[in-house]
Amino acid sequence: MRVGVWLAAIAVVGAALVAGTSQAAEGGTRAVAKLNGVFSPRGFFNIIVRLNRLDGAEWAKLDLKKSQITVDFAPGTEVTPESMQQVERQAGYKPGPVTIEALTAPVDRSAPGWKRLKHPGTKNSVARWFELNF
Amino acid sequence: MSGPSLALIIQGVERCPNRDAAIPGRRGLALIAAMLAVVMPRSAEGSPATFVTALPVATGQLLVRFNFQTTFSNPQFFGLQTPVTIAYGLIPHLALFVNLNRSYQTLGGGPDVPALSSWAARDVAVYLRYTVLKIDRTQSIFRIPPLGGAFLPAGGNAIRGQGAYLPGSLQTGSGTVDPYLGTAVGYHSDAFGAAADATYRLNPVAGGGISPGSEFRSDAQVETRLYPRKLPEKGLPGLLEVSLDANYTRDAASYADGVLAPLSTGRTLKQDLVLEYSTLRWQIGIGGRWPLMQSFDSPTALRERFSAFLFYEYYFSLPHRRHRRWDL
Repeated sequence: MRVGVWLAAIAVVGAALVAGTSQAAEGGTRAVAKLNGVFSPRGFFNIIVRLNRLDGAEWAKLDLKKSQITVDFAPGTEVTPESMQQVERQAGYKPGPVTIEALTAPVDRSAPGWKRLKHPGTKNSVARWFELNF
Repeated sequence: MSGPSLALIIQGVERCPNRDAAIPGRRGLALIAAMLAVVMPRSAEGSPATFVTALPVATGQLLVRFNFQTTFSNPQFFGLQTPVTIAYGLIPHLALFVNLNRSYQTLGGGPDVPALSSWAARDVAVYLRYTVLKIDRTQSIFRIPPLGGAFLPAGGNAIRGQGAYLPGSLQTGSGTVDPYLGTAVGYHSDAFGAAADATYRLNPVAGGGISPGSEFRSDAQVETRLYPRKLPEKGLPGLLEVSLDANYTRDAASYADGVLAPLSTGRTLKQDLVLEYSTLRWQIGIGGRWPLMQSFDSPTALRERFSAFLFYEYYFSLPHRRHRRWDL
């Protein structure tokens, strides 16, 4: 009986956490970039390294077959095709076309390929490094 | 820098095959030179210009690759190397590579013959890679990145046992700063990849100890995806790939205490078969290496039978300095 209660509590908390991370608030901005020359997981990591440094970038969807990355930004973030192309350039690739659109409806991010981007808040550089990589 | 101070383990030198090398003077030098006929100076060592070299490293990205390689050779040689490759993206076209290595090797041994062994750091390779040509398309990527740097003499080239140099195959360094130059070339598409590199390591003759000689290497590789055969429409699956690498090595003559060692040049061609599994943050691989051709001047040169290796690669994202807007 007690085990059942614990399992139920864990399930409720887990569901709340999942719901909290896979649903987006309205009002954000989405950038979709077609990539050139990214055919491997490591290539996508090159892009992620740069997105981690891009203010307001919250989520990224990695699609290997399409060689495409979709980035969702926090509401109020100014996003331009040039800033996304700069990310691709700094990752070592020739930039491809980028389209920008406003998010007007809640977004379901439970599909394969979505990754939460990390922007460590602490001032300690070692702590930031751990937060970024583990 | 070099020599016995570097964590040397001597298991025994009595009745060892090269015991006569302890004799000093001219005859000693001649015997040292003859002893070098039992060298396998670097051909068992992995190329520092791995195929990682041809692929982009993002600015601010740190890549660390751990390798474990065992080598079995005739007569009765066993080696274990633990090279670590560190790559850092300085700017989009320029990356810094550092290769650290430490190895254990043992030669000979039997019921009545103790083995000779050493365990020491090997020379450290430091080089920069600059992409001079890149053609990035939606369906393919092509790169030519020349590289240049040096091997720093962290290894031992004068490791001794009972006053005599141990054989060249048990030395772990060159004793000098060796300039290192070369180029890589790589092509990749979503289902197929090919890469090659050619490098030259110039080994000036060291005043003391064993100089293993300059070395030319050329490697070629093809790889293809085994699983999933068809990529899913969405997402980033882990990829299982198979790779075939051919490694050609040409070693110039060795020197002992500045004296040319006769019959010390050689050429080898080896074939690797590697299975790799890649995810967003790491890659693991396992493989084997077989010699296809081993041509040595000396009839008593060590001949590699088989190598097995395992590697694990992890990618780090370095935090940027806060409030540096230009850093993007």
